Amino acid sequence: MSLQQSIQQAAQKEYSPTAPAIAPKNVQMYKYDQFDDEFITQRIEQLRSQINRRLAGELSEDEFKPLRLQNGVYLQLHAYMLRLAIPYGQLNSTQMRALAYIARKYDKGFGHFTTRQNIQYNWPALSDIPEILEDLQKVEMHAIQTSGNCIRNTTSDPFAGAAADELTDPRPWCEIIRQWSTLHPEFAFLPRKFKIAVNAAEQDRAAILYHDVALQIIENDQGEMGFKVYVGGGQGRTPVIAKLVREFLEPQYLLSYLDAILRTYNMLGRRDNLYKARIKITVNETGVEEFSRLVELEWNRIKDTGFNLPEEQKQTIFKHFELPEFETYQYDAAKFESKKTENNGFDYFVKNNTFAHKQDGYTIVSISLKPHGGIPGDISADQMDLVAQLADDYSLSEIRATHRQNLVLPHVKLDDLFILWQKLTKVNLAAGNIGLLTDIIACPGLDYCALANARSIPIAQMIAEHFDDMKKLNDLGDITLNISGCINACAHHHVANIGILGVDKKGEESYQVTLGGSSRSDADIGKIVGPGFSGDEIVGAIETITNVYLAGRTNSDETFLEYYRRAGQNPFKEALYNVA
Amino acid sequence: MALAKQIKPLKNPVSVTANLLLKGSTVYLKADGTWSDDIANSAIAHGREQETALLALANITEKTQYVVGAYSFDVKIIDGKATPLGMREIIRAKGIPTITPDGLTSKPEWQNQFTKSNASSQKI
Amino acid sequence: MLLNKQGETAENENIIIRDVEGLTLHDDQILPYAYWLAQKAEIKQKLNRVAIWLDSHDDIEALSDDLSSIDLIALNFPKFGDGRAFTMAHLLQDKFNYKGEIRAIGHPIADQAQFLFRCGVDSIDIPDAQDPTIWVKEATRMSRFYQRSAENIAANSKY
Ligand code: SF4
Repeated sequence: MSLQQSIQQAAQKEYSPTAPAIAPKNVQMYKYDQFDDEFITQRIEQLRSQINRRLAGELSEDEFKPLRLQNGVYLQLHAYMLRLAIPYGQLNSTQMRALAYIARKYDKGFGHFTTRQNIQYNWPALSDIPEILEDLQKVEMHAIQTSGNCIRNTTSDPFAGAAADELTDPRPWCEIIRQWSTLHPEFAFLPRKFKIAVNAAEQDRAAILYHDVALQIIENDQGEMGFKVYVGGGQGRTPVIAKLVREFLEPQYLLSYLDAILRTYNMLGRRDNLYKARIKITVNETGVEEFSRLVELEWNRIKDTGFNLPEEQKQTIFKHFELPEFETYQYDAAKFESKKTENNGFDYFVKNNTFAHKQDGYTIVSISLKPHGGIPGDISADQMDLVAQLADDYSLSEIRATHRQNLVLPHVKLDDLFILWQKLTKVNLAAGNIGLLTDIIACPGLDYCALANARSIPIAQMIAEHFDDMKKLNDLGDITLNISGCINACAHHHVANIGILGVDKKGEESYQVTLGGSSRSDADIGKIVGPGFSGDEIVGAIETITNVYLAGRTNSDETFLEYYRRAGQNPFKEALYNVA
Repeated sequence: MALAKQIKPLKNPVSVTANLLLKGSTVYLKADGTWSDDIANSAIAHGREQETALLALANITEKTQYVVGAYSFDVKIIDGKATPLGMREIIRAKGIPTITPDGLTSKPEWQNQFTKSNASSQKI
Repeated sequence: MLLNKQGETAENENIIIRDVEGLTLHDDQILPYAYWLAQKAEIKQKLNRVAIWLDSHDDIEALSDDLSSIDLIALNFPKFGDGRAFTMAHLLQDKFNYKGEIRAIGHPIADQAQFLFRCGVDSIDIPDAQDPTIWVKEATRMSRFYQRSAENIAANSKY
């Protein structure tokens, strides 16, 4: 029996789709109560009846489309696609096993993690979708508002609740926003989609400034916690960095303030032009001062009479996220160091794939879904089961999905790290390339997506194949490379240090390169470096770009982005196009 | 825009494709108004007039909720059969993603299960 | 056919006036907003019951002074995806404290019925040729709500 088969069997024993959901151990996450469960039941019934009305010809495709989209159902090139919500990227091991089960039963044995910290399946039949959602319900998951012109899944720091550099845990606030936004009656038919992101750490690991609303949790001079509110960021064809509208929002007013922003946008947002409908355009056209004046005006009207979450209920939600019980122990530093010296791969893994935990003796481990020659974000059902098992064994049953399409085990004891790495190695999940050039974000592109102009996945694979020397990758250091298959920019190519955009050039796939983008706190939008490249040329172009950096940097401490900001585009242009 | 399209003569012969409403998979319109999952069976239109007729034929089954989103696309005729022009339609006609471009051999083990034969036998 | 928030249907006695040329005023008409703005005095004087309709791009703020003399305000859906009527209904009820009837007209779809009622709409003019039974069903589809509003009884809302 192979390792994979045994994992499969072990997992199926534990998760039966007919058994009620059992949260494994005591994971610190929001758990459904009866209300939540009944809500999901009613929502699935509604979708089932909508599908039946569509099949009976009572709903036209035009009418049905926004309804199915609000339940995560797209129609792509080859099949329907179902996008499930993973609220702020948090999963427990049982949920991961359920995802594996769904991949096997209704799909082709794999799933794809997206830049929205969600997962999508590429092959479900429309008729299976209510059943899939019922299976999901058993593990407290759903697909509500994962698409459509409504408030989408709230995203956050994948290290939330674990990171040493966070001010506080942002997840309870994300959950509050999730509940408030779920089937909000006023905001289900907005001019366009609407994304909210929350961050509470020093480092921005959620690209919050590229969201329609960005909430940075801060502390004021009096030591009180509050939100710094930004509005109007976004990617797509016009990438915009969100603008500050409020320095400090007292937390008790979060929901009424969001209501005021959404209401203002719902009235002002353009409905005459799909490409100008996002709030980023509304804010630009109205002017940020005027827009925030209108928001403040509305907020002042409702802040005391409108809906704000009562303190008691707030506390109830916060209770779900109380820190787990960590072990205090003396970890074996000498042994750890010797393992690193003995194993190059482990050394890179520790260097690139771990992040400082708030608890001594623990670390946060990223699992790269960009293995050598793999498809960014894709994961097989067997791998899902294994990750679930590893989470049970080494991470208090918790898993996170990141906006860079990777997974995270947030609570790993340093003493367990080596064995965890060994187990990951066996299923091709131990790539130590987090944050390196081959940690590529790629959208499904023309291989799946009905809107695409060009393929993304083969390009990502070719680049990963080319840059397969770990030593060289580590020498190149911190570089982000993102590939989108069209201007919708699902892979956030504008904000990568090196961005690749697939375009259609007279019926041929062509790739445009942007340089200098950043999605972190020093957010910036990349600039096009020159004419595009064909699929055959693109790897060479990336090689040239990295060589320009290696030759030009002052020393290995100067990152690609720092070099670019110092040297500008010219050295790259000269090398790429032989121009002076 | 629709009008401008009407006036412009077709550059290439065209066929009509759609997705099955229930299953979502790609299908092609045959001359008898039924649908096939193989592009080689598809009816071919030469010129705008025939194209319009094919689309009207497709519309009949679209109205019965059998297929969704019918449209015409350029084809090249090889041995009397339609073959797709352009990467998008080539990928659709294949029924699976290209994933592994030529020259790349190493793929994760699990991807091997993913072949043309099991891709077309989608369960419902 | 009209639908109310209890999911009951009733005959629609009103006529929506879209073209005012040669119009003779009657109590059962729902008049265009622009016409009302221009002929306020005459309308108020001639009619016992004033009903007007607003399109989704009309400025609802400009209406605030007159609300007490209007018995019914209909909010038009030029297409169902244009969701401004939801906010307009909310503002009428919550901001302007409008006491008359709020109605949705034009092209809403049944799946929006409950959202509309929860935003303060009192009645929906079911588009012709649509099966009212679907509307009746959708009007009370959900009984669990995450948002508290005037329309949700406490037992049904989470907070
Ligand atoms: S960027 Fe374009 S091609 Fe890629 S997933 Fe988004 S819409 Fe599809």
